[in-house]
Amino acid sequence: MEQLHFKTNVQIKSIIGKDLINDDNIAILELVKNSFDADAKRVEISFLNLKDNDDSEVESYSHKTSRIILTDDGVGMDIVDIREKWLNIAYSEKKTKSRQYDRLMAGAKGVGRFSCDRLGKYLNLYSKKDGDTFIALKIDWKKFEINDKDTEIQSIALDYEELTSSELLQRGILPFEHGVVLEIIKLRSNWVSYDGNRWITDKLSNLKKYLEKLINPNQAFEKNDFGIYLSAPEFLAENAEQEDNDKFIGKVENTIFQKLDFKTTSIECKSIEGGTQIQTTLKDKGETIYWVKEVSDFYPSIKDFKITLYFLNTYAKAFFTKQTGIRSVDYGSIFLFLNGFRIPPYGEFGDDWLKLDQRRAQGYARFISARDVVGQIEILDVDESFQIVSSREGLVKNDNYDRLTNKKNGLFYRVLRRLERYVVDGLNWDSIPEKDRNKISEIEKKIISGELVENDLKYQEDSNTKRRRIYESIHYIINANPQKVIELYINEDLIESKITEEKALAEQEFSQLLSDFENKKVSGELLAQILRRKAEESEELEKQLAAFSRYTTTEATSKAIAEIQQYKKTIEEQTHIIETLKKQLEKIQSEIEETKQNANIRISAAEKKQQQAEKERDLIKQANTYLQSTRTISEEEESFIHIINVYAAEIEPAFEKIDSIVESNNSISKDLIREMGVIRAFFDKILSTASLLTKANIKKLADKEIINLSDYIVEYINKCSEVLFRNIDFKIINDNHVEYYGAYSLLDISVLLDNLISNAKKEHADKIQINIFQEKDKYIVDFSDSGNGVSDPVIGEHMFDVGVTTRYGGSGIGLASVKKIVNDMKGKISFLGNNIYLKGATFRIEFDI
Amino acid sequence: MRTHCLIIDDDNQEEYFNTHVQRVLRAEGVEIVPVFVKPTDRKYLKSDHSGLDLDAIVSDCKNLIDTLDISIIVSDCKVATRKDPFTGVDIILALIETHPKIYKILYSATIKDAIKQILSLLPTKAKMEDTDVNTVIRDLAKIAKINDFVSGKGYEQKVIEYFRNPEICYKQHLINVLKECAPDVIFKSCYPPFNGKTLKEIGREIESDTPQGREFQEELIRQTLAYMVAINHE
Repeated sequence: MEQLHFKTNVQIKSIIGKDLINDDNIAILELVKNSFDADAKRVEISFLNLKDNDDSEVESYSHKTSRIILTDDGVGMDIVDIREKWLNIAYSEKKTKSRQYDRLMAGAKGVGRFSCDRLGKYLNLYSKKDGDTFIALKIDWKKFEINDKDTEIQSIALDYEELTSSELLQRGILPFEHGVVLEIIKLRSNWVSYDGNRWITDKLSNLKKYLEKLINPNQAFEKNDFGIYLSAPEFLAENAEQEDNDKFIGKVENTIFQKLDFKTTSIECKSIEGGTQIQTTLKDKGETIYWVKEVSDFYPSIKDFKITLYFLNTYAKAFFTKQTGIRSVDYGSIFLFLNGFRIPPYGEFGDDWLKLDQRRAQGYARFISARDVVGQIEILDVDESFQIVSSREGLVKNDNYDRLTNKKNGLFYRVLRRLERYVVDGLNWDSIPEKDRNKISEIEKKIISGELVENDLKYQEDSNTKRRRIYESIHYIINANPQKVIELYINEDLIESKITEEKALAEQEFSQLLSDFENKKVSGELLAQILRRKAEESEELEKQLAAFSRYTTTEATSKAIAEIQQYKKTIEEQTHIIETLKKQLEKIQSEIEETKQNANIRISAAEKKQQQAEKERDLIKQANTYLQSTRTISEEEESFIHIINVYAAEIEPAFEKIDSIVESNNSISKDLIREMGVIRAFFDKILSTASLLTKANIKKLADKEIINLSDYIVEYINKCSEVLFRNIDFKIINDNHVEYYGAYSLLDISVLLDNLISNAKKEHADKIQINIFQEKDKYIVDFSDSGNGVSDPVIGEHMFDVGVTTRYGGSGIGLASVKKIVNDMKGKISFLGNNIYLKGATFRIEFDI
Repeated sequence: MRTHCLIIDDDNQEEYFNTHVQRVLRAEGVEIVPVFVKPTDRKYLKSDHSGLDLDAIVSDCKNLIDTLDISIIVSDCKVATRKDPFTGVDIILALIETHPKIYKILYSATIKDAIKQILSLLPTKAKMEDTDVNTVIRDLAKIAKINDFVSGKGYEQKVIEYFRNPEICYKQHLINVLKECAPDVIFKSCYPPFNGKTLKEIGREIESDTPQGREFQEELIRQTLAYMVAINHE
């Protein structure tokens, strides 16, 4: 059988170099990796002739042509190495051995050398092994860019020569003991540009940042003995003007996570004891909250690892920005470092390799999103458990990858969940209150400008409150399987401070309670409430004790647990005392209740009395509304009243005389007697007016007014008769408080009453009784006196006629006046008889209701 | 002739009216029956005793006018209590609204106060600007319908004078006859415009002084004279 062979066309160079390594930064990284694998301690990357060069002027290159010189101090290569390894495409020593020079090898593809093609059109390689001569290899990459199907890559000849130190120096390269110098000439990319005013050096800054991220901050775990240095001598001034974060000249370092250590909550989980155990440490602002050693569930899949995660709350994000110059979200999230070098694109902005955002979108707000956490997963992979797909496509998704990233039981999520429990359930108070969310950007600005330092943050709780919460949630946060826990440490200060604080609070509350009890300020309800709380507290302590007893603990933690036990005892004692107090209080309260009931009965009786008194007072008050109690009058008015009384006294005998004439002479004309009656009636009114002058508004007296007749009678008798009829004892009975409203002249009613009283007085009455009541549809006022009574009762209704003498009260003119007034009021007056209420006469005045 | 007089006063006027009006006019052949409305009567008290109910008083007066043959109204000015916001003037003005033709006399011991109240209805410059002119005209017309004013209680003279006016006397007599003698007899001939009306309705036409009422009276005289002349011939 005949055989065929692949041919390697010359164009494979372009495919590997320019096309496969499609990013300048990656190209440089690949070269750095090669240096690392060659046990270099130091790699220097120098950019020369970027400002001023002859790139566009010369066909080939001169000393003024742009270039990158990458120098390392690795073991270097001799001519055999160059021929057999460097020029052997796709050959990688990593494929035959993972560890070399006591380092895990970083390069894996054997294509890194083609990065030089990506970067520049020409390459001069200078190499020297310790004790050997310098080898110089020259490559013009253009020679490989032939479009010919028959030209194979190996057919392109490359020139090389051996050089002395002085010859090397003549070519502008400083001699060296061992290592490799790559002189990449006529650069394909513009690493800087000029905008007419200044040089733009962003690409250089970006390169440094890129390399920083690619360098494991722990420098590949083992030895801190590898350094990358960037230089660009033409740009010293420009570099000096840059912000710290944008400086591009100097050592490439990754210190972000060390800085963050003091600002954030972090969790570190690493393999110990050859990977059979894992130790997890949770720190908050540098203070260890707990650590736990457990049997590893991931051995032997993931033997040698360290996962460090930093939770960034709003403040931490702002501090991140302040320190790194970029927002944490732009910086990236969780990076994977395999054997010391980063695996892109994992963790870069927009890359969700661990599916954090997907999980948050599907799950709850309780999950941390990619933008809330930064960190790294460092894996030292001796067994090649993890394979890199390409320089930009991360790892092969094999079983080990799944053990690392599986959401359900992967290593990463195990660690993340512990952090989540702490920050979401334990430290949630650190976040900004909902109502102040709109102030976030303002706060961020202040932090970044330095106006606000960590101690100023007002939303953070005081340390005591914070500790208490940490304590409460700590057990839940650990969430470890007790069978797998080898050793547990919990910050004993936290427990102790919690106990001390709780104790002080409980003591204070207890002594307050006792003092309140002494002062009788405590209710049964309050005691029951305290008892309930004590029971809850006791239960909680019991739960915590049970939880902690499952773990093997350090001495300090055991001491703290003993404190909890002691504290629980105190709580129980207090509970007992409170229960006794409660019983006492209940007894007292039942006594009080009894006393209260008795008091209520007495209060109710007193209230009734008071109501009665108030009613009486109101009646009196109402009575006062018709006649003022006393009216201040002037001297003139007083004289006027006096004169009226004097003249009245003069007229009075004349009326008596007329009475006797009328009585003895039957021939006197009735008309005359009637007119005399009119005169007498108005004389009475004048007298009444005079007597009321001090009691009432005169104008008011003559006018009609709507009054309650019962009230007015009471008032008139009480207020006015005291002047006119001092020697008569009045009694008014209106048991049912009967009322009768009408529009009457107060003067008319006064005259009516005056006449009745006057007649009684003439019959020598010393008592007058007025009974007011309602009978059927009549309002009745019975007026009776203790005088001699009507001497001739049979005369009946005629006694009210003018001129009819009744041997009661004189001529009878008075009674006629009374009748006229009553009739005008649409009422009726009648004589009931003698000796009805009192021994004298009783007259009844009645009105229809 | 027999007619009614409505007296509105808060005091009893029965005896006074009987003595000074009724007896006098009776002697002259006019039987005048007084109808008294006493605004301070308990039936006009508002239920809460806060005052007197003007509407109830006016309503009572109107009922009386409508049911009785009232040819004259006399009213005191002070008819209510001190606290009530109305006087006899208000009652009279309210009656003018519905019965403008009935003769009305207002009397008062303090007639000046009554006149002041009436004058307050007169249009002032400000009132003319603020009030609709029709309202002003109506107010003026109302005032003009109060036929006489008396200072003091002596309204009797004015009442007597009114009935001594022969025109009034004749007209009132005619109305009385029509309304009282055979009120429900239907008029069928002699004066076609009133064909189909009852005598009582014709009485009201005359009372209201309508053109046809006046024409009917003239016609009545002519036909009565013609009838009398015819009898002479017999």
